[in-house]
Amino acid sequence: MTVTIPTLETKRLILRGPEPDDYPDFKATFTSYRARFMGGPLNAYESWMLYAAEIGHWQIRGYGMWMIHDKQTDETYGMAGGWKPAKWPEQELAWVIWPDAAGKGYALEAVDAARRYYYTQLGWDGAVSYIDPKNLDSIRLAERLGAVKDKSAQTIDGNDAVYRHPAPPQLDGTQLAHGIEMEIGHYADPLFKPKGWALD
Amino acid sequence: MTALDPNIPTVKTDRLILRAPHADDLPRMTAFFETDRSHMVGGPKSAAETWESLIKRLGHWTLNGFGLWHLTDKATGAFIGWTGMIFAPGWDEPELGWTVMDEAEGKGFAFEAAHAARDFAARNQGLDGVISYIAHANDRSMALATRLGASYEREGELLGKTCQVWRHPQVGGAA
Repeated sequence: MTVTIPTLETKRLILRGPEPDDYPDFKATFTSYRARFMGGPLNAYESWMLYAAEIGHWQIRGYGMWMIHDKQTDETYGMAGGWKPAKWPEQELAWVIWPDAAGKGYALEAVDAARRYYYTQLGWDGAVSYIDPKNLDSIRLAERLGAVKDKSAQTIDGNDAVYRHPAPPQLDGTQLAHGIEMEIGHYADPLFKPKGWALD
Repeated sequence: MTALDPNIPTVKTDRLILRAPHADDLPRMTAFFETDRSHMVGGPKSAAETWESLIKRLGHWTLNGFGLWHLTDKATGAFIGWTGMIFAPGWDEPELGWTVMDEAEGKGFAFEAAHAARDFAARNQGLDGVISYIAHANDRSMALATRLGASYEREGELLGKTCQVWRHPQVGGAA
């Protein structure tokens, strides 16, 4: 039962399947306050089991969360990808960025690549992100990705807000797609950072 | 490309096949974990939690190089339980565990499966003279541990619950 996990490459990042060696980085975040919007902080057992689940998800679903690596240094910055445990109403685009790597646009770049992969390679016709309403950074990222809060969508357990991502046609040569590409480009190459842009 | 190969070997006994956990096992697994029968092995669990248990079992193999096999009854093709080595934060050392669904009880399947798993782990996974955590009230598992040649070693604790630690004999594998 070998599952081959595709590698995605972006301007600055390589997205690879989660490997045993990457676990300490995962654990550091999920046992910390950083994980407060993702069911954490977790204890050592819960964190290890969640990482096992990240790996097993790939084997059962055929897709899952990639580990985000720096293309140059190979260090990890977080995870991003598709996530659909049994109780999820719809397939989710999810992300987590280690605290030290926040604010550099890595999640935007990784999720954009993951979403394009699902839309163009796996034929997904949409996706949602389930976000804690207090998780303002993630809500802001969802909105930068063009996702819109869907108040009529079914939530996981009532404690999450559902952000619906644009469908494939809404990202095909549109102004939205161009805007996302521009923002990623500016992160990747600060020389082209124009004044007055809201970059965080 | 990352080849995600949990490398779960298949082990055959006279009447059983020890093989990788599979999504097809979910209905029976879910029914088991919904009943009180599962209370000595981490249950009861909802269907969603059981699904998570299945993917965790797969990830466990990738992370540790060993894990739980699911059991197929050769005669009927039915999925009848699981056995194998478990190790995660909170465990003192890798543990041999076993569970057999009630319709397959009383036929010596748990003994046959656990014996094969223990043997394989000693010879191929570097795990010999292992322990089993057994809940205090689990008389059936204590009886099986005794039949397997294991003996009570000490009181222990696992995930916040007290239990007994039983020690298996050295199999003397090629590790």
